[in-house]
Amino acid sequence: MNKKDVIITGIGVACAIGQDKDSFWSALCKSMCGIGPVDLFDASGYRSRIGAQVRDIDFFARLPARQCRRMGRCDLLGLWAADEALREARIQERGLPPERIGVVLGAGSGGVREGERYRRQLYEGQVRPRPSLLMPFPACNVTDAVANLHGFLGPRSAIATACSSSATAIGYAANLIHSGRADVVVAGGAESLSELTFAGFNSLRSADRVTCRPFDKYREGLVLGEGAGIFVLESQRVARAHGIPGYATVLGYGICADAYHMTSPDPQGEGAERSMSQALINARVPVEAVDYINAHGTGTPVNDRIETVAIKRLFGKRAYSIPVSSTKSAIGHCLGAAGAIEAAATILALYHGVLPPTLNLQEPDPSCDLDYVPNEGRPANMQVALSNSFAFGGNNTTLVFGKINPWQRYP
Amino acid sequence: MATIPLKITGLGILNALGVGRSIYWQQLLSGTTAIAPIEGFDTTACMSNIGAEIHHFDARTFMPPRFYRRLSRQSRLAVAASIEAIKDSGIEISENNSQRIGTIFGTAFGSTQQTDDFFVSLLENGPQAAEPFLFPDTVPNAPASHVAMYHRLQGPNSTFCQNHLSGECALAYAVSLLEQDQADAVVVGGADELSSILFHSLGAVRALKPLRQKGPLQPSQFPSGKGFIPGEGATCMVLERADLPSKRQDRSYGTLLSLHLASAVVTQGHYEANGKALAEAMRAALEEAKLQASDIDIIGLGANGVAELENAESQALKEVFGSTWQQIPRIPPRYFVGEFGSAGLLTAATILLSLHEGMIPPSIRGSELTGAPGDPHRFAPPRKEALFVGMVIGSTFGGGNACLILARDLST
Repeated sequence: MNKKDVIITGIGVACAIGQDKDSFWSALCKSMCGIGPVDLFDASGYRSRIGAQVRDIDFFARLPARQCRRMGRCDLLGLWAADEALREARIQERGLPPERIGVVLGAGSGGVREGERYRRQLYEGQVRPRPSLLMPFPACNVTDAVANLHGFLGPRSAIATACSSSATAIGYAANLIHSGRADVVVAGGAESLSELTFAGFNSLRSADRVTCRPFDKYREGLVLGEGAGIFVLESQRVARAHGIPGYATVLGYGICADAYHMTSPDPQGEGAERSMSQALINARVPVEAVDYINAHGTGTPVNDRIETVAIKRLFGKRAYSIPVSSTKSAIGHCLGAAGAIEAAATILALYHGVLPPTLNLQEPDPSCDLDYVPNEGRPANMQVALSNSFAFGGNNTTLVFGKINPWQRYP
Repeated sequence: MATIPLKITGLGILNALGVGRSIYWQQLLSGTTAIAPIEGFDTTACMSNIGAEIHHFDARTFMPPRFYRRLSRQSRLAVAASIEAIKDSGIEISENNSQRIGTIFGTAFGSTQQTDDFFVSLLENGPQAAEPFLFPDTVPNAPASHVAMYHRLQGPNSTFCQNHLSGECALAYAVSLLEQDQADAVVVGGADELSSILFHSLGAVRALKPLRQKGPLQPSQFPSGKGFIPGEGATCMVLERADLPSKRQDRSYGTLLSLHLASAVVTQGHYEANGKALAEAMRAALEEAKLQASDIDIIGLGANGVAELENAESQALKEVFGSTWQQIPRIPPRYFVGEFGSAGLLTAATILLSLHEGMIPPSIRGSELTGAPGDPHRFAPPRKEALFVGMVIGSTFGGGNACLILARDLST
């Protein structure tokens, strides 16, 4: 199968700035920031008390309460976004064989939020903590929930590589379609805020106390977020047969390891550079063709500097003319869902011809001297865009998306 | 069929039966069980007291203390298995090939002990004093990252968490990477640890077999019914493209002919009831491998003592193999080492060793292992036999199923 034959036909998003694709994109273009105080748990004792929490979401307005009663917050976020993506791609009404529909989702901490409530009750001496709190714990629970609720019988897998989980899930989904193992794959990821990860990043002193400000001189670290980004990927042949236009082409992806350190990136940026260069090789796209990079851009002092170095290593002087922005400045770092939600931002940027901004960039860091699209989005003519995800443990993934040309949409 | 030929050139095995491939194989052939009362933590408040713990693992015999000092038990097991597998394969990692060698792992839950230790440090010490050095290894991808760091493997790196099908899912992605020319070789592995908090939690959701024993539980006494017996271990295999030039082409345990994943729609926490999706995975894997059911000489089972799963497996076997299903040797490694997330990879490694050595380990007799309550499973003793093609099947609660087909490397 040709590399250009896998397309995105459905997008579902839930995050701190929007509970569907359109409101997410609109908020992103309006430079809205979803970061604020966290109240899912008591954050008052932490060094950093902020996060990008999804608020006022009525899960059961859209999801069947009976089937979802034992689901965790991460599962519900995933089911919510999957519902939007599947409706948009008209999957149920197209009568596709369920054996040919797979599900590959990334999850960072899965149902840790519910698990920690169980553990706290146990620690405090409660004789019989509620066992149902443990049911959503497995990282694959959201994958199983989406597949079981919608009756998909194809290959299913859950990927847990922290911050690159859902980007890798999208890449694997494309592989499954290329190899003929599935016609359609529901891919992406979901993540819920949990105290354990909140405490973890605070203990490492990697969390910013003010806001998420990637590439800013005074940035202190990341701000955790939550949400889900779910896509329907399918071969263009199948989509065309049903008159589904699609948003973008999945041109390819790169995946590699730093093999350097659990929590620090390779100081020379070699891993990040290889991730991007392998993605372009896999996509058969020359470096000159890249019009936009959605950065991993966590806001940690080290990541933003190293990512900048890696972009310069790969693109040379042209790096200065490629717009680079960090969606985390608006939605926080959604860990297992980050790669997918940021892929949604990248795809919608290509689709609408608008570069989403990097928020909270007041004073540029001299070592971060690229065009980060500061504070306001702007129109741009784009054909090819990259989305970077670099995870804990040195697991790097870069996705390459291409704009769908009108003649490809309606042959 | 995999679009390119794939060979398994190295194996590393650590579990409660043995630390090391050879010891495991000898112990399995002798019919020894590793399932016994748990010694590592207190089980008096639990519905069960049995599991399959590794008692003789010393990380120092595999790696320097400065490397493993802050690693979880799960990560240590993973690195140790990878060292054995890579040494066994003879693959030499250098600057020339390190970027083309991937590391793909599977684990059900990651390091539950490390995660619990970190959370308890938070509860005990408060938000300002949770132990930072415990946090990094709470992520499920820590073992794969440590393996990559130890061997300097810079190719694709990822981790799959699909309950008790995690190993098979990791293997499926490794195949995908090799097929799509994203790697030339992949160190595929799985690692899981048995911890107090995991054991307690499995008991709380009634996933444990409700048995209290005073001594080891022999496979022949293993009752089918509710719950499984948890174990721990790490398995690692080096999967390489066989079409690339190599001086080591004659060193192989076998060929991976096909791997198929299929799902069933099930209720949360349950296995597929009728085995239909598993049968579909088996048929598709046979078709991919261009083989008939009658070509299969040996089958590695996913059977773990849960009647729901064993009933589904036996129905799927009947559906695919017809009346001959009872005559094919069926090996249930989990009856000896317990259940864990990457146990499917161990089953695959066991079938590879069987093909390679021409030896059938203790196998299920006749129509046993059908999930009938109180079924006293009887085992046929190990025997020598020329074997050519093996099948491995696996299922997990939640609805995932896998089937892979392995062939003996006739050049060895």
